[in-house]
Amino acid sequence: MKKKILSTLLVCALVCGAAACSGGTPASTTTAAATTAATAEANSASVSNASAEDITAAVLEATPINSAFAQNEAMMENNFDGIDVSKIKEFSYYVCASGAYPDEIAVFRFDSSDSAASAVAAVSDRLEYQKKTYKDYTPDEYYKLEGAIIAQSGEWLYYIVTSDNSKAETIVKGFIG
Amino acid sequence: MPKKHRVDGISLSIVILNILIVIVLIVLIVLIYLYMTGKLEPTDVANMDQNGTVAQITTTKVTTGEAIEMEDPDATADTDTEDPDPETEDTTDETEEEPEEEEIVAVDPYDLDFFEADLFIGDSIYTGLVNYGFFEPKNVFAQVGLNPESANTKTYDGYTAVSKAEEMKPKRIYIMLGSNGLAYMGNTHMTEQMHILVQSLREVSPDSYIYVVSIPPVTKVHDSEGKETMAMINGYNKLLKEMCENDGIVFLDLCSQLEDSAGYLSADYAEADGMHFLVQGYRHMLSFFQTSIQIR
Repeated sequence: MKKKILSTLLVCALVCGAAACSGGTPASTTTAAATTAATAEANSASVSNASAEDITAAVLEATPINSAFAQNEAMMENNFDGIDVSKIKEFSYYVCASGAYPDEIAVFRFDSSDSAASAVAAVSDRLEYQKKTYKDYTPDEYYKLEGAIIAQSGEWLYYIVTSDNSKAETIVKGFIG
Repeated sequence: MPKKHRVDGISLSIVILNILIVIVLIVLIVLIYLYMTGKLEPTDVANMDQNGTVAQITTTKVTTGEAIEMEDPDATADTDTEDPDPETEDTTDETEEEPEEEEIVAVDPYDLDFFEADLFIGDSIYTGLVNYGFFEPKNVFAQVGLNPESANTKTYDGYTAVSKAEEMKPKRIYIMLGSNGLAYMGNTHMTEQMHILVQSLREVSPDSYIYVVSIPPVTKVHDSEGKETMAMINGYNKLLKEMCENDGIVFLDLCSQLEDSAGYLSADYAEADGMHFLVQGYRHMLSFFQTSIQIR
């Protein structure tokens, strides 16, 4: 009888372990894009709990940027001249670090929608600077800047320069509406 | 009563369980063996901490005996620092013109502190020094599309390259410019403009050690597109080197450092456009700069 109980327990433990493994793997490897889709469909009414980093990760998954590298606060402040960093609750900002392409994406969450609105000018200045810089440098890439998106949604502000700006914006909207 | 599955008095489930445990143990042993022998290693993501330092051993080929020297106090322990004016330095004998390659092993490829008081003047390639987090913007005057001519006049954040050097008074200045003008400016004109830039920098910051860096190679694919070719690059770098010899400036031949065996930008360092650098390119460049200066 003891043998029976022991063997049953061991088999159960093994089966549970295997089930946990098989259940955990997909969860941990779920792509950000899939998360985005799920968020967009299931959580469209309320603002997502996703972080700015979650949002940029999802965008980069769907519209990759060559040599994408996260920029720290000093670099972000340097590129968005005049932005009030004290009003930013969180941000995530990636650029093509090699300088070869104009691609970049920034998602900011401010302490209020007013703060987000007041930062639009700094982001627009960045876009204008990039347009001026890349217009003659890489004419083939200029379409990314021409179709760049700067938009605000409540306390969120985002800036998108990728190979498919519409697709990227759809993903962002899936998170923040 | 249903018949129980038993093998020589042992429950079948126990047998299966034991087999599974043995399999798991074998897999674990194999994985541990692979890890111990280095065949299974964690992915080298960026291999760079917040300061951009890399803790790995690399071998760097350094070309010595080139051009003309201006003694940098960090070059050797007993370097004379009395006269930093490059004009007064000795020039390399013509017979020693042929570079001599010395292979050295750098345990730590570069130390960002080494460059703390230095200024990098360049084009979009140098913007990666900030974008990748190697340096703060204060150490880098770089703009997309900058060339030797526009570097003399164009402003960024209210500064020209020269006025930035004048204010900063950097310990060393590394100039790498010319890739953008290859297609339309002419090598002779670019070299003349580089000469003007170097002289202006000397005037406003006479104590700075100025290093002119050869422009980097491009990939074979990029070369075949015809806009910037290795023939153009090598031609310009040759003129730059001659200018450095005449002006008493140290010429750092980065180009040869980044070439593959066929003389094109190595795939290890090349961005998709065949001209810019991946992060590995910057690591190698900084290692080359520091090592070149320290062994002098």
